[in-house]
Amino acid sequence: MNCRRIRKNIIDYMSGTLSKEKTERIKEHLLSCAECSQLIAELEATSHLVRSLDRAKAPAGFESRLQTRIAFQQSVKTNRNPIRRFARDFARAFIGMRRLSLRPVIAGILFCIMLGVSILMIINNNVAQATDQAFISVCQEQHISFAAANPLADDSAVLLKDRASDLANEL
Amino acid sequence: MLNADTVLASTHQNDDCEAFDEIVARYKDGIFNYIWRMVSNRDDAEDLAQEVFVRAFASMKSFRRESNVRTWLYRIATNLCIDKYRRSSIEKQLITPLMQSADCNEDAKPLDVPDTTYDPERTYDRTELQAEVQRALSKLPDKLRSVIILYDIEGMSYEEIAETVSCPIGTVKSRIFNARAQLRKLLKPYIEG
Repeated sequence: MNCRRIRKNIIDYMSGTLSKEKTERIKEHLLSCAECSQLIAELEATSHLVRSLDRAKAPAGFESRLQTRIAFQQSVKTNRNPIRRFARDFARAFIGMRRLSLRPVIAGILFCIMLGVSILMIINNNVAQATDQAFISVCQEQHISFAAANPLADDSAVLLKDRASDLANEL
Repeated sequence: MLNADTVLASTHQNDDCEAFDEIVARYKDGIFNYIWRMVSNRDDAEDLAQEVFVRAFASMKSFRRESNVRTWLYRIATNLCIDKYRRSSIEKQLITPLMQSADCNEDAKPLDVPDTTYDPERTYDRTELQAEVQRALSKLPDKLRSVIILYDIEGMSYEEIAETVSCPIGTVKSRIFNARAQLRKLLKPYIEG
């Protein structure tokens, strides 16, 4: 094994994850190559220096400050959006949800709006039909009474009576 | 991979804040230590460590069950540190010309003065040596620094580091080698043998 291949496998060799066969070949090479041997020794010493660094612990009160920060950020986030705030309060009051996802709430609101619009359209259609029917009846009565009062005028009133019933059927 | 951590995370998804508190209790020291070694400043380290958990709390719902909580938290920490490093680099670029122009009337001295007071015979105590190692770490590029800290200080495996920094295992190994090679040059006076 040459120096170049040694350097390619040096990290695995140092961590002991190299196969037994390759490890033996590297050891053989190190016996005859002072440069690679020194490189590995220095890298191991470097690694040892880094590993010998003290481990710091999180400062006292870290968790309480974190809780305050999370609570503050959540309140800012919620208060920024009045729809979300309303939905959150609604969910807390009526559903008992602590954390709220806006999607189902928006979907529910949209469904209610569509349902309301549909009901209004049906009611409006029925009212229009009833109004048309009343108007036709009034016209019909007026023509009949006119024809009765003026028998020599023409027979359009009779024809109109039939026409009115046709229109009613169409509607 | 399902383990205690993923169970903790899934418990949190069911609105159990106690599980999140347990995650914080378990990882706060490791995350703080990692960030401290990355940014070399205790105040910034605490601020960033808290930001890690704030972000984790906010995105806990989108956490994938098969992921590892540890690597997930360290990934957030790594990204925050790199952002911080970039921001401070930009600030440094903006401030340095002003400093140089303020000093231009004085003797023309290089900003980075080499340490000529080093005496090989002097025995460095532990604190001084640790400060030197930290200084050397801070001179590494952020990609190399994060990998060497995760491997040598946090004791992560290659696989965990690859997941944390989102790169192949081969890249992790080459970064570890490059980081050690650069540290070797920077710490040459303190390496015995």
